[in-house]
Amino acid sequence: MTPQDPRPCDAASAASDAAPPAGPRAYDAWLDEASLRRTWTRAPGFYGWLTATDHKEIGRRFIATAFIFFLVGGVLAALMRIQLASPENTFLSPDRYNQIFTMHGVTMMFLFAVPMMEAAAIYLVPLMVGTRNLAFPRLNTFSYYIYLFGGILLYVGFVLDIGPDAGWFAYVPLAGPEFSPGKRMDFWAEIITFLEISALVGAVEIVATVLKLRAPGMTLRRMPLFVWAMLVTSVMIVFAMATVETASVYLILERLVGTHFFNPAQGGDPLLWQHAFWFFGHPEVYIIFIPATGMVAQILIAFSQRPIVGYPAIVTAMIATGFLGFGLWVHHMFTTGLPWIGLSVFAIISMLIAIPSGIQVFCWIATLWNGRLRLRTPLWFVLGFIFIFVLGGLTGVMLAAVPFNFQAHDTYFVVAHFHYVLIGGAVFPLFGAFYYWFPKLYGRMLSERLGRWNFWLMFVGFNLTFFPMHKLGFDGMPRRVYTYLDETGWRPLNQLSSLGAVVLALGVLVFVVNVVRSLRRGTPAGDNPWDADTLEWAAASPPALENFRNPPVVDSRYPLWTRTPDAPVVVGLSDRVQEALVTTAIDATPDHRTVFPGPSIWPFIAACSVTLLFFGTIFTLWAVPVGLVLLTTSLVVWLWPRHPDADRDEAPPAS
Amino acid sequence: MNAPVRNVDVRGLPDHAYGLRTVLGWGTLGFIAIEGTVFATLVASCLYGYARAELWPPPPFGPSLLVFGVVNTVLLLLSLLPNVLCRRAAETQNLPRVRGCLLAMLALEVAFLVVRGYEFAGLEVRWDDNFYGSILWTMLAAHTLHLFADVVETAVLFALAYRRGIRPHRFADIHDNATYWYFAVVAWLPLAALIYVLPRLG
Repeated sequence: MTPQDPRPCDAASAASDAAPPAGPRAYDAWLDEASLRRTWTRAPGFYGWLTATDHKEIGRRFIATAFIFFLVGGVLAALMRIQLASPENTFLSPDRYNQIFTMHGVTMMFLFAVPMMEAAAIYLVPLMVGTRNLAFPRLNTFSYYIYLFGGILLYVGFVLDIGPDAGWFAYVPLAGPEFSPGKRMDFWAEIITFLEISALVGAVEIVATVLKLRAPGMTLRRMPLFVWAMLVTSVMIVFAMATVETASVYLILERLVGTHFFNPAQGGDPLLWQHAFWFFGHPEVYIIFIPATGMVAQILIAFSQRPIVGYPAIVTAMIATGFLGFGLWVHHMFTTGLPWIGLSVFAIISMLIAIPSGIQVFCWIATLWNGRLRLRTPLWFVLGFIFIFVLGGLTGVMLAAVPFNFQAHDTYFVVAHFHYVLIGGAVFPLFGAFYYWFPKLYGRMLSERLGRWNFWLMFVGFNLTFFPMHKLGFDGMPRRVYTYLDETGWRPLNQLSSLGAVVLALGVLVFVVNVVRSLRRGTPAGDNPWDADTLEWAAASPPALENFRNPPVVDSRYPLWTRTPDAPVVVGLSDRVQEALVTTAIDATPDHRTVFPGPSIWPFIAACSVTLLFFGTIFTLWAVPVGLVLLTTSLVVWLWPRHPDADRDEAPPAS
Repeated sequence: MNAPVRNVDVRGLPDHAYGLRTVLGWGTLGFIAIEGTVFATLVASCLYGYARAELWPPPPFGPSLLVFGVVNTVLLLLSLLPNVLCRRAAETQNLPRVRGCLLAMLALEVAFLVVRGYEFAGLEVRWDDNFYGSILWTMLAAHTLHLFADVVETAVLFALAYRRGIRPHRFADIHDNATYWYFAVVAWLPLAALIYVLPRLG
């Protein structure tokens, strides 16, 4: 075999000069395990922590950070529920209430939902496709720090009473310079712009990992459904986030240097903002939902112990949802006076997208129907998800009807709808996923008993909180009001809703207790406690630094269910550099070897530079040149090979 | 009785490749998609404003000077020649030719930025005059930033190409940079049409 020949080779034919006997054990003597471990170990201490590039470490940090933001966003929601529990309540001032509902939305959408889905992928995708790290590991580290700094700064603003207060979608002219003077909306615009950088680079890493680093034999048709879901989601993120990034730059310019994108007096139009925002904002829903469907599929397969029904249909449905998701943003703008023909087209597409979602629901039910069900906590969360999400989907179809939309627009009916879709469609699967993958992350099982309490409290609490909001919407209660009069008759349902929020919060509290308790005293998990089918369960729990001693080779869609004890593996990767096998995009046949760059401080410094650039711009435009110089310098040093003579640390000899 | 296990031995595989065979190639494509979407949003915004305006550009402003558009477009199109050669030379690992082509590209890219500097200085409309000024400045600034990033990348690769003992995978980086430059040129054409042609259509 020549170096240019991309075909896979095997032990019998390739190493012609010193062919060892067949079988994975035969290579033990060839692999220096201590060297392999050393190669993948990072430096100890705080410096090592700052420079870490292992996808598992960064993934765990991402997950923990996103979960903390989820808790904080939940506290903000609880404050709103206290305020609305009785009419004419003075618990929160109108001004603080505006900041709180804005921060709640921003936190849940930008700091929790999307980062959490990407975080799950950052941890799981390399393991599920059978490789040793994420593509572009340093970029991954950079992405985490950008996200962390963005989130912290947003909350610094909030604590200092300069938190954004014009809603999570920051409609102009309210969010513009005339009606929101001061720094509050500057915080929103700057921080959203640079938070999206994190999401965008995360998406590129995931696409490259999925398409180029899959285990030999893992053709696209054998790819786990969560990996498919993340591929579709990442492509959506690229197009959606780049659009909102441009829009939020318009808003920054409008506020800081007086442009007229949204000023009708000078040829601009406030609706341009709404178009650009919702072109991102609606796909955002599917960016959160599609990964959740991938998680649901993995959990269903493991807990019904059978292949999923309709794998091709589910993949097609995910891709179709990805496409259609970009074609219905105008249903957020039905009441803005757009031409009727436009409304009709977008109404039809809004209804059409129920079809791929419906296909998935039927496939899930069929899988459950014929499976050998094990009713453990992850599956309970999936069952809860199906119930809640179907309800949210149905109210979505109602809202797609233009005449109904006119009536329900900006009422609590919409609040009920999107919480059914987002909490039902993403948070429930995510909690199921926590229970499912927690043993892999930490090597211990979560308590099943607390898990049941967790599920039922959340399920009952959720429905108590949000179901009454449908009726409140019908009764005319508008969104984003800090209080209401007793004469409206909205008190009983609001009190029921606030009571539900208490139950929901108790459910989340039980989860936190469960995690803290299980981290210390949980039952040791073993490699594959659920008898699941995908490759991450072939790694240790928690996985070794290099993930797999020998990366696996895949021969079916459910590799752990079909593999034999002497199943083939990948051999011959270097134990001296962080080397990985690159395979072809469609058939995953071995193509060439690549070397990941190791830990470096420069992604951290580059993230600091970006933060300085954006955050500093709120106060002085000098931050732009200074930030750009710092950023350019840090990027150049980041990419510059360390050894003066030929990148010795980056590439091994070809032999 | 037991068939021999056919492990996948990767020692004989190459340690580098080009284009979409590589991880970096897909990364480059991802960033092209991101920047392409940014430019597409700018184009859509410009056309949105144009469709709503009675006169484009709104009086008393005239269209941008055509000479800058022509010179810059010619410079970018000219840069395609060293770019094509650079890409091919990277594939054949022809170091002298790679160095020469990178230098030529760098010169043309810097020339472009110089012309762009003069263009900014001579713009009749300001970003805070009206929507037309806002979108014009934003399109030009976004494209300038995009080119500036590529100039830095080309300069770094040029410096690396002059160090001792360049490794094969560095040629793959140079190859990717050349692919990215195709995008830089292609992305300019619709922007140039909007900046220099659309205002002359009335």
